[in-house]
Amino acid sequence: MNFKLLISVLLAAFIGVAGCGDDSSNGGSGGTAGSGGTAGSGGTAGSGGTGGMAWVPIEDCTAIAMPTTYSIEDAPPTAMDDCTDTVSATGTNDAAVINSAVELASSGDVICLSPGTYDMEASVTVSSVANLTIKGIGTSPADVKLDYKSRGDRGFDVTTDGFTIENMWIVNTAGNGVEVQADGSVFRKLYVTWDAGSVEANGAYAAYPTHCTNTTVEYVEVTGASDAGLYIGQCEGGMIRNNKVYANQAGLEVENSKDVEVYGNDIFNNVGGLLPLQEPNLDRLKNENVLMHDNLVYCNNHPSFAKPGSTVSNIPPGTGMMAFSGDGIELRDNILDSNDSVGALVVSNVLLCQITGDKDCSGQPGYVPYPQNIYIHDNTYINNGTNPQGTFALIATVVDAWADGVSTVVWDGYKEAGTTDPKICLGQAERDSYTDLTSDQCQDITAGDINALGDCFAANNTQDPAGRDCAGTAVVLP
Amino acid sequence: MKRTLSLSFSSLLVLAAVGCGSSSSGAGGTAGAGGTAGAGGTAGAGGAAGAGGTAGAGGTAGAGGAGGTAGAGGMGGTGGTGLEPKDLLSEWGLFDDIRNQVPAAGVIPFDVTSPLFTDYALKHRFVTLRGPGQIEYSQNERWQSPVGTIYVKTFAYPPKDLSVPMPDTREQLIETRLLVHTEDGWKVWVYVYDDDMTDAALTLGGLTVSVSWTDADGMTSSVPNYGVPSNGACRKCHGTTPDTRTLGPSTGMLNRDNDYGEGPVNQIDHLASLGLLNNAPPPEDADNPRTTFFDPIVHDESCAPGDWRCVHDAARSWFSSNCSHCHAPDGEVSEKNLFLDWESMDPDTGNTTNWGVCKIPTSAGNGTTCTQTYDVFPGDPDRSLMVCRIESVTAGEMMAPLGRSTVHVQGAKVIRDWIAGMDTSDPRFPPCAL
Repeated sequence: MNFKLLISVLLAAFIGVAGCGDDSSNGGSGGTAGSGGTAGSGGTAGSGGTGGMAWVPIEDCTAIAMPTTYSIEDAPPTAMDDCTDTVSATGTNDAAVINSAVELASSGDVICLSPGTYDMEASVTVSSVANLTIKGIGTSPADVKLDYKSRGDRGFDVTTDGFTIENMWIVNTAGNGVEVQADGSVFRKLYVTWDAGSVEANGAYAAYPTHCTNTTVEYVEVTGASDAGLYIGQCEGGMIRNNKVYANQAGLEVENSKDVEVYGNDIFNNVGGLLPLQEPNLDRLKNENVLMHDNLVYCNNHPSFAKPGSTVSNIPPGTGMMAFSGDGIELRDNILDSNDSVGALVVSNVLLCQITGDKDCSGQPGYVPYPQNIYIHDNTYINNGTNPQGTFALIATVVDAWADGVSTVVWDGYKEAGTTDPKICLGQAERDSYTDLTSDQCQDITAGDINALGDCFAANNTQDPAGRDCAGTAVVLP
Repeated sequence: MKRTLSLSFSSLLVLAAVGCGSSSSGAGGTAGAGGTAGAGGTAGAGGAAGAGGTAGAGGTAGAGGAGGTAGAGGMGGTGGTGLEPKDLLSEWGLFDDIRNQVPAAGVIPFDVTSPLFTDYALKHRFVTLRGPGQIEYSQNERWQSPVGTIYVKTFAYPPKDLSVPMPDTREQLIETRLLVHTEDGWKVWVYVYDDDMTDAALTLGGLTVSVSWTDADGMTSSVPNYGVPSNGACRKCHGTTPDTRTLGPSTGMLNRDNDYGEGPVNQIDHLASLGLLNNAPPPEDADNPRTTFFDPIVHDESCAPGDWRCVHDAARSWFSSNCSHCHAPDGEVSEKNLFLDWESMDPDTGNTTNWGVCKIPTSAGNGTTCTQTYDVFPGDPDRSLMVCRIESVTAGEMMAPLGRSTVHVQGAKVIRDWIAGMDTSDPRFPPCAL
């Protein structure tokens, strides 16, 4: 599905071998030899999720053109014959018109927005009617443009169950694009952008289901979010699929949620691509039972543009996937290509605090700052870690084994006290290019003492995957 | 099927001839104390009543009777008539004179100790009961008002231009918001005034208006983007259906004087004398003190130098009115653990971390201007994120996040004084370390 566009773009941008640090790639169309000879196409096609199309390794991330309008090609058509109310743009204060329609709606209603540009002077608030649908009735999401011009806060602020939002373009929100805290919501075929590009002043999240249950996000294209493009947080039950996420700070983030499946997404040119996170001090303690498979995660090398000091500003540019703490996270059958710092990073909140100098790092009672039961296997890795950025650049100066590039998979090695086996389980390709940064010898280093930390990495890092061939537990979704 | 407002509501509107001072009524609605109110013009006579509705006409009894309000027999039925939304404010029968905001009988004006800041708007507040039951008095909890209660709040600005000869000295009326307790819970209805301000139309989706006023000296002030809230916006603070609730009415807010025509009297005593309160308190004295909030600006200015406890009372009042609907243990964002409600800010028992002292916010909004690390940095307001957000008008960064488009400069000063006066040698107010 996403491959069609990608291949046409890559073929159009074809240039000679770029002499990457990792020696095996070269492009002939169809040639897919990833490092270590993992037949890229075979690996992904086998899972069935990518339609068996071959992946063409990236020659040059900078040659990938960013889309200029909604570009997901296989999004399903939007029905236009079930409108209970139809609204048209006047070009001035259209949020009032939409909010009125919402207030008059009954459960099950479908409010349709005719093509045009809507002047959105305030949020659309849905707080009194359940099972509401608001959708554009243009042939493309780009036909129904809701321009907030930094007014209001969130674009959509929804707290009622069964909400569906579909087929429209949401641009220039001051805060989050679409925020929903409810059960059973559907975000479908949206285009969420900011005219300023990727800048700190943009809204934090484009799609923001939080404190939710049974949420679906599909065929959504988002770019420019200063925190995460697609996000699902503190939710139970989620399906995030077939979306396109680029030029955001964090691309696609699953935070402190449970029973979430993430697949078929196209994630590129973000600072960090695919991020299952277990953060402290939130209502839900754990990120658990999260499966991320058959995603394309490439060229996530965007310079950081988050607010300095924010959590997401700590993501090293060039991070493909990052499992941050969490318990029961499976990452399989993804393609990771040309993420300059690392393919897959497994890291604890303990190390983050040491790096940021935060001395109070325990989180609330019951919070576990370590990753456990992380199963990473059958992914395809091409040219990752060839040009480490940010924190990774620093660490690369003390890890001799990274002279020719950062290992594909990096774990910080920290274990919870009293745990001998945190079950960080890796597949063959993962174990073939692997680093444990500390052999769990560095937890006592004072937070903020970067020099001591670096010395400890230098002395204790290992590429020996002993123990990493444990039998991982596949995530089973309800 | 296209919906229009009148189509939706026409089947619900009670087409009673609603006269002043009474709700739609059943036939022959009779009287409160003092006389046959029916004769006095309870609209009920001849009016098409809703099912079971008898005259809420307690109000008319007031005209004849001493202090009469809803006396026995005067209570309107809760069968649902009278409380449905209406297209025009006048249809509610709340005012004898809308333009001059003269309430109808039975509609009781009141004022608050610590007003919510709304772009410097002037506010006229009223309450009326159109059902059986009484408001539940409580020393410390928000007052619970029964089905049939209507709270009325008009937002206005000074006269348009006092610098011209023979100026119109009447206020500019912008909107009147109603909180109506129906059988289905509290409902919000917002009415926006027309050009001559003699009536106002139901407005569901909100509105942005530009307001200005010129004083006698010719100085003009303005609020270019005053935001009349949509119903959804009302619920951001007042709570989502079906949990919508009032925020203001409480002892702390109402324990002050007001003049009902015979000199200042305590409002709570007055409401009690009208029979509106259940568990009405005894008159206040040393043995029966009542929780009282302060006017934060006036109080802060009155504090003696160095009396931080006094300044804390002012800040506590400002926080209560402007922040505590969300920032409280039972508020919308309780998980943030920033508690600015009256109870949590008790100077002796309050947890200062919950006030924001040396607290790193879990979410700091989305602006680029406010980069402070801690919510409250004792002794240093400029290093306090809270001050920055209070002084911001950037959507996504400003606090409160809605309900204003300008900065409450005087309120921000109270919070600045509060932070500046914190004693950093007190272990509860340490200089924040990183």
